[in-house]
Amino acid sequence: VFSNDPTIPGDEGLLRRIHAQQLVPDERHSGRVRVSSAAFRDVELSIVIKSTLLISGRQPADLLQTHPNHALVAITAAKARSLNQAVARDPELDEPAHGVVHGRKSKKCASELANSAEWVVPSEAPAVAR
Amino acid sequence: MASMAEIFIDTAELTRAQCGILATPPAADYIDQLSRFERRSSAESWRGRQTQRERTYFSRGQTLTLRWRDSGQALPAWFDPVMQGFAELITLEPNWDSYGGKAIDRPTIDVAMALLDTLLGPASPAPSIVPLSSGGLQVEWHRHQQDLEIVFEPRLAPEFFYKDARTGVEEDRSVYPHLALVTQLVRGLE
Repeated sequence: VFSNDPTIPGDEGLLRRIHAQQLVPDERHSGRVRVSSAAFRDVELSIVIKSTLLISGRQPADLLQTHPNHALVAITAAKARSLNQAVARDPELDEPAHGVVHGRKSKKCASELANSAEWVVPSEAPAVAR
Repeated sequence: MASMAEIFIDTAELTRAQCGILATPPAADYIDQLSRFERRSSAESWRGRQTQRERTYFSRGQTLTLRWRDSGQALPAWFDPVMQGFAELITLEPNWDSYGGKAIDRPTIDVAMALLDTLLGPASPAPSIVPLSSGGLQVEWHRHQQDLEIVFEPRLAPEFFYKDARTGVEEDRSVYPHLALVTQLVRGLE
């Protein structure tokens, strides 16, 4: 069980890889895709804490080096907390910046997390695949 | 109804068990029911002159060919996008999401196909077919400032979430007890 870590500031970027299959057409931006809420349903949602990543001398794009079918997006710790989620550090051997957004996620919660996601890599929404 | 659909992958004929969801009885029924959309008004006329049909889908280096028999009428516009969407799920390997995501559960795909068969009309817009890390899937539409998502978790009854940004109306319920409502919501997306 993870408890909320108050040392993670509200404006902290929480990075998550998104598989291409979890991108859906965005009605608000014709011809572009957005992240499906399906990418934010896990009770223990794995993320990478951006500031910890940067301290280790790496860049967000490095998270995609071995994942060519993925994009990278960021939500904020404040947004997750506003949806009754705990944000915690969970360092792993192969990813010391690993963290978790922990909590039951209703469909509305997952949808709000997806809607709040900002593009990191690529820097703007990709075009819908033809 | 007996299966009239066969699926071939990489040109090799597979057994039903190997073929995956597109050749399972629910899927075959799904395909057969799809083909009935435009013949409902002339149900007697098509029975005597069925033809062999075939559709091929490509996903991650695999070729999935769907074969069935019907009267040769036009398929609804959503047919190919939806079937391609399911093909994309079938070919996902474990850990597809890089976070330990499970391969998509075949019985869950069958449940989703059967429900779409019930919900979609000839003019319905095609939903996006999206995998879940749990091995489930989600079908979703985002049109006319409305969001409709139906979530299929393995071994659980499907649930839906609907939000209309125009009115502020939200619904978060189980699908089957509210099938008429979900059908109405899908038709409202046309």
